[in-house]
Amino acid sequence: MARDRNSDDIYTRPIRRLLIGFLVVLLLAVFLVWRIDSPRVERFRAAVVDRIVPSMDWAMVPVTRVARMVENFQSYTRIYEQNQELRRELQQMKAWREAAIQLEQRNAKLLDLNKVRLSPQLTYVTGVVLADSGSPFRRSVLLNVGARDGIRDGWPVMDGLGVVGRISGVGRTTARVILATDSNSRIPVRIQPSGQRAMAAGDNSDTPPLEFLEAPELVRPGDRVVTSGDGGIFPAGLLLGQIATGPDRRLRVRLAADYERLEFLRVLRSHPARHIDEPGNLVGLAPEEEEEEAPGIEDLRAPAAAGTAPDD
Amino acid sequence: MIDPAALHVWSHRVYFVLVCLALIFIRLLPIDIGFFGLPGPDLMLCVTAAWIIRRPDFVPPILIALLFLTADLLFQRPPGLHSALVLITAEFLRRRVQRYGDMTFAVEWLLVSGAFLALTVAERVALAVSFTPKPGLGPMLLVALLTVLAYPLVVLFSNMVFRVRKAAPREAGILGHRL
Repeated sequence: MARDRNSDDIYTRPIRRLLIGFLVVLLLAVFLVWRIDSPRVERFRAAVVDRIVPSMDWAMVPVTRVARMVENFQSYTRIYEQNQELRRELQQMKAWREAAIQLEQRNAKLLDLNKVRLSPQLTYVTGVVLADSGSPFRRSVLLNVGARDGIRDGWPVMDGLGVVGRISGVGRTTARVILATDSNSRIPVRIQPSGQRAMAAGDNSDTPPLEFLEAPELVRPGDRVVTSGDGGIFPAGLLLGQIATGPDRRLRVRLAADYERLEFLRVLRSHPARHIDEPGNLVGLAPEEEEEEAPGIEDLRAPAAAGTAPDD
Repeated sequence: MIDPAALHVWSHRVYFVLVCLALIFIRLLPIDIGFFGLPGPDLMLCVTAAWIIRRPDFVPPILIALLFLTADLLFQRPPGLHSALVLITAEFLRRRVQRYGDMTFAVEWLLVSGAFLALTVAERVALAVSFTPKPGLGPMLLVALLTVLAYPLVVLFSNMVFRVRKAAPREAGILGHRL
């Protein structure tokens, strides 16, 4: 303390200051390296998460279960309102069911007429959500499947009903899913009856707004929003949600996936995934164009590809 | 034989690590603990500040750096930046306490609020200068505000549960100047 300062303080203080300075410089260097060579540090991050989070699993399971029980118990208190609500919904659902049956029959007939075989490539891997690894500004979850199970960066993720997000960051046994609500998420979509294309851009709210919409007057609340398949990350025709108008009169997507209870998620093995090992490839050109236009980049990229090959 | 004062200090260093790990763990749970969609306060920062003002020897800088870097990595924040700023803030508070000694709680709270605000502003400036995509100004200030509001509660909690109080005069000087 200040009042009874010892004589050896004179010796320890500069060392102390040096140590702190060293630590600060080290931490800032980590930040700089991350800023310059993000994929490498992100791989390191994935490795850290991979080690720590599964080892917390034994403790997470009981806590999560108790919390779910409390949630379920709370829902008993609202049982009357729920009952009323369910009745109303059931009424609507009956109408929908009728429509769905008719459509299904019609669809089957049309498929039969065209001799269509549904794609055998559209298989999926199912994973369980391990942790809600997000800060207030990052919406993402961790799955318990990773590179070991063949998961690749960029693959789309769905729950039973709609698109949840896509894989970004794969560890050996875990993979991170960037949710469609994250502010970094951009999903090219098509709005169903009018056939317009737009971009569902996450902004950390529960309902991502639509951007780049050409004629908003043709879009009504309740229209279905499906992925358009542009950009090659998401296959076309996956349900994302419905149009809703926000309080600020912007058109937003009310997501079909149940974000409150993300538990089992499907990772679609839908496209021949391109391995993303540098930021440029995320928005890259189609492979053949890339070779024609930029032959000079090829030899730069070769050592990087060789360096990452053992990871797979 | 173990010196009881040293045992006291080392056991509290272990408590500090355990508290921080517990806070990280709670944040990682796949259930929503946020207050109606509001982002939660940065409790790890609160704990660090409260302990460093009461007993600077309980919170060595190397622990701060390690714990906050781990948190950065796990919470998908830009790694290193937040931890570096927290370390600087903590050392500023430590210096302040060592130089000027005791202060009333009101002064302490004011000082800590200023430090948290400066940290937020510095983080934002650093993110802007490095062209890192940054969250909105509103949410970040909100987090800083909630952290300031949570500070007295954290002080009370660490006082009651872990008995982190200002050192009595006879204790000071045994380990008060340790590395």
